Amino acid sequence: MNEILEQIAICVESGKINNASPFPPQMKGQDGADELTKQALDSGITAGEILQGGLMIGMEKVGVKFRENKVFVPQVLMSAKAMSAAMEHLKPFFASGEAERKGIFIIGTVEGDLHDIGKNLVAMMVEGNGYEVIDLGTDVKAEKFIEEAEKHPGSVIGLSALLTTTMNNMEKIVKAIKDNDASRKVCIGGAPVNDEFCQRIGADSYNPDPQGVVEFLNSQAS
Amino acid sequence: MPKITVHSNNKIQSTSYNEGDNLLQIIRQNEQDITAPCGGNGTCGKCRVKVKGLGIVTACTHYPINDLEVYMPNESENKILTAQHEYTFKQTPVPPELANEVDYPLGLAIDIGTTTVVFYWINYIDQSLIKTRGIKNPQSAYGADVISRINFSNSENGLVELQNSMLNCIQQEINYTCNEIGVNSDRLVQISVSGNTSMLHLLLGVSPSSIALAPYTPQFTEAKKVTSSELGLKTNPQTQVHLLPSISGYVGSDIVSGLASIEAPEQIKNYLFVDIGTNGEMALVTPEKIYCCSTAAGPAFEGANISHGMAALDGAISSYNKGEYQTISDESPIGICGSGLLDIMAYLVENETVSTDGFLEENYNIATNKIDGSSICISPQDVREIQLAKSAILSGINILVQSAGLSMNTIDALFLAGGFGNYLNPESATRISLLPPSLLDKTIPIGNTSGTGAILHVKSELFNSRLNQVVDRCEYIELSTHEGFDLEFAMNMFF
Repeated sequence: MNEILEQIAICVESGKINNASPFPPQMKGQDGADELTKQALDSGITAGEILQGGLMIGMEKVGVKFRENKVFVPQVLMSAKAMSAAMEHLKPFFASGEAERKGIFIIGTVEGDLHDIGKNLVAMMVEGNGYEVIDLGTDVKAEKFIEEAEKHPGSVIGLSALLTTTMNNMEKIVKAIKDNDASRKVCIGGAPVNDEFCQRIGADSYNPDPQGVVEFLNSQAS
Repeated sequence: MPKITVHSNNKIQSTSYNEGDNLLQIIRQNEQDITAPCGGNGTCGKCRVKVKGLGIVTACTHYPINDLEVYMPNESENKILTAQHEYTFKQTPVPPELANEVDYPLGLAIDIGTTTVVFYWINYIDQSLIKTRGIKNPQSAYGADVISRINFSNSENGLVELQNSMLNCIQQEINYTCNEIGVNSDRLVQISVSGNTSMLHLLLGVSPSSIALAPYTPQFTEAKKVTSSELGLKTNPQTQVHLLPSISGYVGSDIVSGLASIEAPEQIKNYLFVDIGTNGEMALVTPEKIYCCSTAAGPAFEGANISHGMAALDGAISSYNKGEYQTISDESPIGICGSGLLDIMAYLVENETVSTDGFLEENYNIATNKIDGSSICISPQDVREIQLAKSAILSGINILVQSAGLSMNTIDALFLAGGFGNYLNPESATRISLLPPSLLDKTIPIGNTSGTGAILHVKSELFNSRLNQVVDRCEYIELSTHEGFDLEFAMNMFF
């Protein structure tokens, strides 16, 4: 495999954003995902190759390590930031249709809830795995999810809630989405949510970690 | 109907129960003290009781059908902090008018915490504190934290049930203490209550639902005054019940009265005030303004979400140093409470068993439970829970200091309020950066300031103006929408 892509994967895995970033300490002074992605594009590697051969490999490793409790929120956040820095260089190619994404994922924190750290981690992890992510932010009503999903046929919706009190809103939103289009796929996540709740409210998938969301999306895309 | 016999603290009680109810509901109906941190959702496993012939069961997921005998865990009385401190505000006593009309007038200050309710009895004749008693908040049976309790208040009759359980608990205390002192309950002429905003809503029977939903606006924050008869309390019919003022949904009158109760010496100009509980509330007091915020630390330091965590009861490991542990009342160890947890974490970080990013290879054994021979240990997931909790506190502190445009080295003192703040070892707390390491030598435990403030309010009407000054000077900072909180929160998870 191409050496620069391997390095990009390592930067994403270890959360090295750019040369100036002091994190992680052992990579101080080295080029990060930002510089390396630009260099890769300049050397003629396509955006699609960088996404698949660099970013996705790095993100998957972080996702698995997070699931296995080997890394935690701060490392995943730094990985996501490294990925975003690389993505900035790739976006023009996706926008022009020169490179393709695997699908579209619409995500938001449900009405009544302002917590977004978990939702942001999932959004970035999913983006790093080759999907276009439309992040509707926090305190999002059912109508907003439906409106956005109608613009993007085949998209999958992700709902996040952190409070036991906002789980009820999650139930309402899932129902509204399914009433609007029963074939629309909805996955849910957040601290108080579990598989049993997911089945009860008629959502399609619950995942305890971001990597699980990626795997669910992959199963839908294939 | 089948019969249930409950053994609790050497008392035996038998009643019949409805088939189809779970054991938690049945025990609650019997008005027994039981803790259910998750609110009976079957997720925390802390409502365990012993059923004769069956062994230990989780009450909320056990649906009995026949006669049964249940053994409740024995509990020691909660330890209560003293309410006086060298930095306590000094004032001129101005008792309520009603105090002049009865012989031997009494005042009652109540601090309603999510976990504990503390009663302070004041004799108006000599302004002395004659009795202090702390009990577990009876609403604990409906969920450990504020959110699960708000959730319960939304269920059918939930709000009424929660209000009644608190009012009953207050009435029992009034009857008990008046009986003990040998006076009629009409001697009680004033009640002053401090507590977090949700607890005050529940006391008045006002729904706290809006506090749990964005933008977290409470139904009221101002001071309230009702007569005891309006609440259905049997005391002197003219007794006023005062609820002290709050700031926001998550910064309640417990914090306002705590801040008002402190009179820092002149050399302490900028100081932090931190109350670590399920919600960490904190304030930064500067000569001009007070900045305050609340952060969701979660109940990890109170024992929930930690595999062998427990409250600070007999048999809890409360301190730990290089493999040596101490338990409360020197009983054989059955779990770990918050202060013990901090010491253990500091030790594991120090000797690099836990890496600075919080990785622990496998369960770390602390002690053996002498009852069943099982291991009391720290799991890798426990470390993650502690990281979340301690980062929430430190991030709140850092953002307050930044918001005031100050740096940590201009902070003259850090006052630690509340039970956990009083018992934790500041060296361990700063070692794992729950508190800013640079403030180790400036950390001062200050006791239960919420109760102190309520006492000051009972003693003098003048305290109202001091409470109002705190409210007026306070700027509330909402962390969930604060720019930069995400990154701060993530980075403060490192040890």
